[in-house]
Amino acid sequence: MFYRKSCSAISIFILAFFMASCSVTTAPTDASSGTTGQTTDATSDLTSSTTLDDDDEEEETKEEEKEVEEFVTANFSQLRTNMSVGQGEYLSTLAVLMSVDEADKEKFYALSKNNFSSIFTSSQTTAKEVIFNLRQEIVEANI
Amino acid sequence: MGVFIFPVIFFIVQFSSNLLLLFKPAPIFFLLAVLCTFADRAVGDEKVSAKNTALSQLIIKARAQQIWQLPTWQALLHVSPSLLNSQGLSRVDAAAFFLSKQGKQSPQAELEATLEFLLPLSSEIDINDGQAVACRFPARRAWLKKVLEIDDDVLPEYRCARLNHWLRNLDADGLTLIFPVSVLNSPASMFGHTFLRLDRKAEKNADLLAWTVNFAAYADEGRGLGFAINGVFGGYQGRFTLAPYYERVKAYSDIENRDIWEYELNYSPAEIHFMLLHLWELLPGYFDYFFIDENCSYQLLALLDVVRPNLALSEKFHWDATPADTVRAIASVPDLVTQVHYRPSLRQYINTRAMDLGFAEQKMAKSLALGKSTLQDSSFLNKTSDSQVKILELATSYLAYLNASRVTSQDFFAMAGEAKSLEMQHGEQLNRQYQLLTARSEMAITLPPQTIQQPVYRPDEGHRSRRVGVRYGSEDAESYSQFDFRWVYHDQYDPDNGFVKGAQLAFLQPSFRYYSRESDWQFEGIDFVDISSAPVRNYFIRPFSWRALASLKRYRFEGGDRPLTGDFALAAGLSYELSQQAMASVFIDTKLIVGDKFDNNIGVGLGASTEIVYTLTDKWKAGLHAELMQYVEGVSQTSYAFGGKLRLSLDKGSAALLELTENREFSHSFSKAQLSWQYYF
Repeated sequence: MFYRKSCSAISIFILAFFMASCSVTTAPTDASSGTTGQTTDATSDLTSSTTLDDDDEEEETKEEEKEVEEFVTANFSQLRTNMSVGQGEYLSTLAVLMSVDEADKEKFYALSKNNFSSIFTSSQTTAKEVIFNLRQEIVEANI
Repeated sequence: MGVFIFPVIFFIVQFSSNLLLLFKPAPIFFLLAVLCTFADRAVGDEKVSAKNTALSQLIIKARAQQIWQLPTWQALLHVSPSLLNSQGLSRVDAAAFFLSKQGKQSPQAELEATLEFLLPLSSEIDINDGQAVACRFPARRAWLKKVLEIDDDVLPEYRCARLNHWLRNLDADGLTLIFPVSVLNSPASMFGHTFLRLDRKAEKNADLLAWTVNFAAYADEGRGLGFAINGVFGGYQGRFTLAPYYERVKAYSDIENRDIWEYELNYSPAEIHFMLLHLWELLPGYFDYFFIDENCSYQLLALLDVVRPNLALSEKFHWDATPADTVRAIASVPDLVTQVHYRPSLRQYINTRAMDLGFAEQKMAKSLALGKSTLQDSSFLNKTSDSQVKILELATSYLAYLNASRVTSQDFFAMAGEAKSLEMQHGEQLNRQYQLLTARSEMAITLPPQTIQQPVYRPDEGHRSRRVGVRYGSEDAESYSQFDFRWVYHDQYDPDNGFVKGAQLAFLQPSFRYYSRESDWQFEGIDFVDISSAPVRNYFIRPFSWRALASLKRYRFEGGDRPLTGDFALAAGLSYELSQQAMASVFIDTKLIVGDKFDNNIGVGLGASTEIVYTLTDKWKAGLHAELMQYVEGVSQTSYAFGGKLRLSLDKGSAALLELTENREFSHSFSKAQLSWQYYF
C-alpha cells in the first residue's frame, strides 16, 4: 500500500532527522570544550576527584586530607596568627575541616597555642609539615 | 531490503537536514508522525512510536499554553529586554548553550528542541549517560517536567554522575550575596564587586569553606587601561566560576584591604537547588562581558531571577548596574535579606588594635615589626604582660599586612635608600614574624576577640548613583541658573553613608547654564572622569592619595571671555584624619589645558592644593579648600582659588549645597557663589 510505504519512509526520515540535528548541536559542544579552559579548571576542583561511591571511606579520608592541605596552604598566615593566640575564625574552620569533635574543640584551640613552637618549628615550616605536626599533637593529646 | 535502503536515505537526509533546519520543518514532521503512528501501528518499532506520540503531544501542549513565554523559561535562557536588545535575544553568547540553531533568537524553538533532545527517539535510553541533554540541562529538564507534567516513564530520572557529584560537593542550602566595597586603585574594582556564596546552613558549616559563584571577565591583564577599554566594549568573555570563600576573602580583605559585606538571602533549599541546576547549564557557556551593563552584578541578578522570576531583579537595570545598585535592588525587596554581616579588612583590624594602645606602645609595636627593637629590650620587658600581648598582636598583624600588600617597608623613600635586596628583607620579615608569633603563643593571656565597629550605614543605605542638580549662582557679578547631570557615582560632598570615605568617582557630568540677562543657554562643560582617591594615612597604614581629571570647561580670561577649554589634571598627595570627623588632604597638582588662548594651544601648569572636609553630623558636611596653579608653558600666569562648601542632606535622596569661592583665573579675578539642589536617582 502506498500509504504504508510513505509512512515508513517518513518515520525513517524523522529518525534520521533527529540524528542529524544531534550532530548539529554536538559539534559546537565539542568545540566549546576547547575554549572553556579556565571554567573547567574552576569546576574541576569539584569534579576531578571522581569518588562517586560515598561509602568508600578511604577515598573520603583522602579527600579530607586534600581539603585540609589546600586550606592550610591558602590561609597559612591567618591560620598561624590564629594559632598563636588560640582563637579565631581560621582556627575554628580548621577544626571543622579536621573533624574535631565539638567537645574537644577548646582543647584543640589551646593545644595549637601551647604547642605553637612544636607545630611551627621555624619560619620556613611548610603547610604539609604543619599538618603533620598538628596531627601528632592531636594524637598525643588524645583528641 | 529496507536494510539497504536505510543508509542511503540516511545519507541524503543528513546532507539536506542543515538546509531544512533553517526552515524549521520539525512541526510538520511531528504532525505527520502522529498521523502515521495512528494510521498504522504495525510499522516501525512500537517504542519509537510511543515516544513519538508523547513528544508530539508535549509539543502541542507547550504550544497551546505558550509556555516559552513564562518568566522562568525566559530567565533560564537569559532573555531580557534592554536598550540595545529590544527584540528579546538571549544574552548568552556561547553556541553550546543552545540546542536549537535559532535558540538565541527564539525561546520557542529552544524549548521545542530541548523537548526533542530530552525524549530521544532511540528505543533505549541510557540513564547513565552523563552527557545526555537531561544531564547537561538539568534545570530545563526539571522545569519542563513540572510545567508539562511529564510522566517518569516518558522522561526517566538520569543518573548524572558528574552533576550529582558536583551538587554533593557544593551541598548548599543557603545563599549569601557578598559585596566587597570599592577600591579606586584598579579600574576593575572601582565600583566594588558582587558574588554569591553557597552556604551550608543546616550543617552550620564554616563560612570560609563555602563555595562562591563569581561572574567575571577573563582578562589577561586585570588592571590598567587595556582592561577598562576591553571591558567597556565587550572584548572579554564573561563566565561563571567557583572558588572557596577563603580564597576570595584573602584576595579582597587581606590583600586589597577591602571591607566585605555579606547579605544573607532568604531562598529556600529547593530554590537554591534549582539555581544550582541552572548554574551547571551556564558553566561551560559564556557571555560577552560588558563592564557597564552585562557585568558581574547584572549576571548575578539574572541568576537569581531564575528562581524567583517575578521579582525581575535584573530587569530593573536596563543598561547600567553598579554593584551597589544591585545590592540596593536586593535589599529593597521586602524580606529577601535576612541578615547582614560585616567582615572588616585586615587594615581595619590594625587600626582598631592601634587605637587600643597609647602612642608609645604603637611605636614599640612598629619597631618590633620592622626589626628596629627586640623582645629583649627593657622598654618592652618593663610593660605589663597585658600591654605586651597587645603590642605583639599589633606587631604581627602589621607584619601580615606588609606581607600581604607586598610592602616591605613602611616608607617608600627609606626603602629606596637601603642596600639590602627586597628578598632578604622579605626573609627577615618572615623570621621576625615567626619570632613574634612564638613569643605571643608563650604568653598565657587570652584577649577577647577583637570587635570592630560595623559602620553605621550599610552600602545599600547609600545614595543612588545618578544625580541631577539645579543651581542658582553668581559669577563675576553675573547671575545664572545651571543644570547638572552626573551618570555615576559619588563625590566628596555627597553624603558618604554607605560609601568608602575619601573615595570620589564621577563619570560623565555635563552641565548647562542659562543666563537670564541675555536669555541665553550655554553648554557649560563636561567632566568625563573625575576620580580622587584619598585614603587616610596613619602611623601604620600609609597609602598615597591621587586624583585624575579629564574635562571640558570654561575658564574666565581677560575681559570675561569664557571659551570652552580642554582640561586635564593629575595630582598626588597625602591625606590624614584630623579627628573622627575631619579629614585633610594635600596635593601636588599638574595640569594640561588645551585651547586657543595659549601659545601652541597648550598650557601647562604646576601647583598645589589642600582641602579639609568636616563631617558635622549625618546631615551636615562642610569643607574648605585652596589651590594655587602656576602656568609655566603656553602662558605665564598664576591662578588660584579658595573657598568653602556647605552641604545639607534634605532626605535620603536629595541634598542642598552652598559654594562660595574667590578665584583668580589667569589675569582675571572674580568671586562666585552658588546654591544647588541635588537629587539622586
